[in-house]
Amino acid sequence: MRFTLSALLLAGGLLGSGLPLQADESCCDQGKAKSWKLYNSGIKWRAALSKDPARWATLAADAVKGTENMSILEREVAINAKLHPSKESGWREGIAPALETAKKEGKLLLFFQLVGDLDLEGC
Amino acid sequence: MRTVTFSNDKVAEQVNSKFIPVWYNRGQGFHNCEKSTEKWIFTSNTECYPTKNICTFFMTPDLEVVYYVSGYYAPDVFLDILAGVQKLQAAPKSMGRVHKEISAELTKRLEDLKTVGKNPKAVATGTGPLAPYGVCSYETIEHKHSIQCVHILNEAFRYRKEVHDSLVDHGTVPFDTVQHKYKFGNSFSEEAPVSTVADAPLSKPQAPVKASVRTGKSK
Repeated sequence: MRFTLSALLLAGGLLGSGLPLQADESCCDQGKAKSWKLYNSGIKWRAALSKDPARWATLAADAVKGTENMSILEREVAINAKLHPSKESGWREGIAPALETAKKEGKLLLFFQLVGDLDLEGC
Repeated sequence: MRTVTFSNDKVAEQVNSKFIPVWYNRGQGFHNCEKSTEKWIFTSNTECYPTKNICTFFMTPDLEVVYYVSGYYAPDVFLDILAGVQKLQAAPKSMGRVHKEISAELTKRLEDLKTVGKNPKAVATGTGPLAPYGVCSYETIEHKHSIQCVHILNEAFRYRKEVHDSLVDHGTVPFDTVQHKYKFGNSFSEEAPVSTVADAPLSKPQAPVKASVRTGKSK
C-alpha cells in the first residue's frame, strides 16, 4: 500500500510546522535527552558530523529559520549551505577521516543517513 | 534502526568488526524522539519498515556504493543484508556476479514465502522461511510472527532483490549518482516531488499506512 496524499500532506505539515517539533516528552525534556536505554547502544560510530552536539544543535537551530515550509530535501540543501557555506557538502568533510580508516583497514564504509541526531538521542 | 537494530548485539558485533560505521543527519534541527511511533512501527512492521528518511549505504573509500537499503530492517533481516555485502566485499572484481547470485537467492526466498503464506501453522510457529527471522524485541515487547510478517518480508526481499538487480551490470554505483536518485528520483517519497531525474527510480518496500501517519521520523 502506498503512502496516501493525506500522509504526504501530514508529513509536510509536521515537517514544516516549525522546529523543533514538540513530541513525546518521555524521552526529551527541554532539549535534553532522558534515559533511553536501547538508543544507539551497540554501534561504535567512527565519525559523526557533530563532534560537539550542543554546539551543532545551536547552529542548526539558527540555520533552520526560514526553512519551516520546506521539504526534508529542500531543508537539507538550504541548511547545509548555511552550515557549510564553503563546502560542496558538509558530510564529505565529516567522513573524510573515516574514509582514510576504511582504506587503511580494507573495509567498507557503512554510511547511515537519517533525519535526526544520534548524539542527541532525538532531542 | 537506532533503538532496535543498531542496539542488537549480533548486528553491533558485525558492524563494528567488519565495517567503518558513520552517520549523517540530513535533517538538522529536526526534533524526533517519539516513542509511540517507534512502538507502533515495531509492533506492526517488525521485520521491515519502508521509509526514505533513512538509508544505509555500503561503500568503498572511493565512494563507490556496493549496496544500499532504504528504511528500517529488523536485526535478523539486517544481518542477512550484512552477509550479502560481505560476499560482495570478498569478490571486488566480480561484484556483478555476486549481485546476480544474491538476487537469485532472494527469488527463491520469495517463492518459499508464497508457500508459507498459505500455511497458517507455519506462520504461527515461525517455521520454514520465517525461521531465520524470529528473535526480536523492543523494550518489553517481544515479537511474534503473524501473516503480516509474510507480507512485509516479501516486500523486503522484493526491494532488496530489485537493488541487487540494478547493480548486476556494473557491480557498484557512484555515491553521488545513487544518492541523487534516492533523493530526487523517487515518486513515492514522502518528501517533496522535485525530481528532475529522467531515469526510473527503484521502488521501495510498501507497508500499511498508519491511520495518523507520522512521517519525517527515523527509526
